[in-house]
Amino acid sequence: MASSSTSVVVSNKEKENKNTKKVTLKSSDGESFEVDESVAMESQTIKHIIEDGCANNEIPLPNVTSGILSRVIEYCKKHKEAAGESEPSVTSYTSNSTTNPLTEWDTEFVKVDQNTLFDLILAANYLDIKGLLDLTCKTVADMMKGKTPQEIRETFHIKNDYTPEEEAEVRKENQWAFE
Amino acid sequence: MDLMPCIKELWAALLPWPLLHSKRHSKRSNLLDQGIKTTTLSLDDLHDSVLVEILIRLPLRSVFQCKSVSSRWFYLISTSYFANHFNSHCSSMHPHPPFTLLIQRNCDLFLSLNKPEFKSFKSSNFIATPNPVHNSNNKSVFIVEASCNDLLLCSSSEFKPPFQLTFYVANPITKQWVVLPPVPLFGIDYRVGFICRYDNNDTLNYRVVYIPPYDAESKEREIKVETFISEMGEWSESMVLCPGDFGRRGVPYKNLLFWWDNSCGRLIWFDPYSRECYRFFEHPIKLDPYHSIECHGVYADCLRRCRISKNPLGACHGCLRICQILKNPQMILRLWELKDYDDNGGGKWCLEHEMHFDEMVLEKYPRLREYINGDYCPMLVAYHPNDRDVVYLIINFLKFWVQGNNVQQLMVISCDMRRKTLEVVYDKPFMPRIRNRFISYRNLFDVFTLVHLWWPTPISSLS
Repeated sequence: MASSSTSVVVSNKEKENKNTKKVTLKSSDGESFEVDESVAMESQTIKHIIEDGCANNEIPLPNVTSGILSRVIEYCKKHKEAAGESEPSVTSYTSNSTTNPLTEWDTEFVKVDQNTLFDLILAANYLDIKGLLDLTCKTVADMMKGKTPQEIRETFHIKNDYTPEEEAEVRKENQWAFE
Repeated sequence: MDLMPCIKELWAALLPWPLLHSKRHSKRSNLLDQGIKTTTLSLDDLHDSVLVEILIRLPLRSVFQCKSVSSRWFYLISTSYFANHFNSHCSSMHPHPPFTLLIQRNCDLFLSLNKPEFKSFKSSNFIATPNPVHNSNNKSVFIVEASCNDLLLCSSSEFKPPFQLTFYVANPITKQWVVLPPVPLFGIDYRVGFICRYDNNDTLNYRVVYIPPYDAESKEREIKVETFISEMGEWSESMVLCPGDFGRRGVPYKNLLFWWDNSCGRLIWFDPYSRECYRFFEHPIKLDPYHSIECHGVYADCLRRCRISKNPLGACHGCLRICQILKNPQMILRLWELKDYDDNGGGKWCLEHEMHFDEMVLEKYPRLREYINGDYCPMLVAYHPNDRDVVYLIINFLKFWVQGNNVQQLMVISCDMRRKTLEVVYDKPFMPRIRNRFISYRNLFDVFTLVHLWWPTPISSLS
């Protein structure tokens, strides 16, 4: 995919009577995404790069593929919009569903296969986007709740490296948690 | 087999884990670049710090169940890194951990709160589990002595030769416990103190202070104090100048143990951590000007015999408090807080609350009115660990005490001193089962505060 010829530009679009600065993010597989700087700055990692003045051209993100990056950008855009509509000090990162109007959207957002979910977690961790990390980790945690250790292993393809004796020992030590 | 001591070595051996996983991940990225479809990701592919982010969002029981999933998970959950993150996450969602009052009547334990956190703590189970000599003979008594955060100090007294007292430190939620080496038992009027804290390496260490009975009249004599040091696994004896008469149970506060000397109206503290300095510091503070307790008749008698009356001291939200309830001529509750406390012994008692019982709002519990107006003396049993307006009382204490071993109702109420309202937190009949004559002689009644910390305090076996 060819990268765009312009990088950081001061947008001349007057449609919203604002000058929106843009940045270009480049995924590991070479695709470029142009986004508003304010949206990109939902990621603390990108925020530091921009503030440090290193974002001259594109910002390369070698740990994030294009598929995941586009989703991440979607998340940031949606949450930035929502934050913009309410008070500036409100972050939409609360996990309290009764107050967060984006809860429904978030729930749909994480209805993806396990691989994608893990990739989103890794991307949120690398890009340091607290809300997304919170949302994705909570989703995986909720998948674990109520499952026995064996069921957790099966769901998440984890290898059991305990001998039967060791496993019985660990279980006995933590018997209170199973009651 | 206790796996805890091996954790550090094995964790060090497992340090390559993070490297392993990042290698795996970059390999996968390379595959992607070449357009090759990836294999199914498992949670094992995630870096430790990421896995921690997921696991800390589980409820506590699920986290401990996850120790059984694989050894990697076991070691990860056992690190102090994990415990600290779990703690931070819970603290960011709720201001304070839940707590319950633990009410001891003779050999029975009752909880005032039955939240799911305390589900695994059932009094009968708890009494049975840590005590290897489970009251099988009638000459031993197993009781709770003190509490500190989510740990309990219990004791088992042998009233036959060799007359020993065995202490246990237990976490009633996780059912972990250790037995301390026994100490000689000279009589039942001993004093205890229990304090615990995390040191710089995030390891738990604690102190148990045991003061055998002494003759309080002889003020200039030295008395023996035994301190158990958890890091060493043994008792250390020291002699201190006798400070007079003080209550039974020490209150842990700022790494010191505090007792209240009722005869002189002063605070006594003891530093169980500094081994050079096993001395009692006297800090004469007058409860100005209401320092005398008026009591008469049966009330005075039960105050004398009941150990709980000698513990008006407590800690709430980082401050020491002392409370006094007296009839002058109406029932008044006064509460003082120690402000500006510093390590050099400075500090000032300030009156925080003064509440007249006849001003209390009793619409919700009209039947309590008879207790407020009558001669049933309310007794303070515990302080709320965080809410500075709330204390816990037994409002019908005198009636409860005097009725002795008959079936009766025990009412523990929480009292909001500012709003002057009450809530009944425990209201059940007590069916005291007298197991042996030693119990009835002691007429045991005590209340402890058990705080369910977000991450349970681990108790490792003694070295």
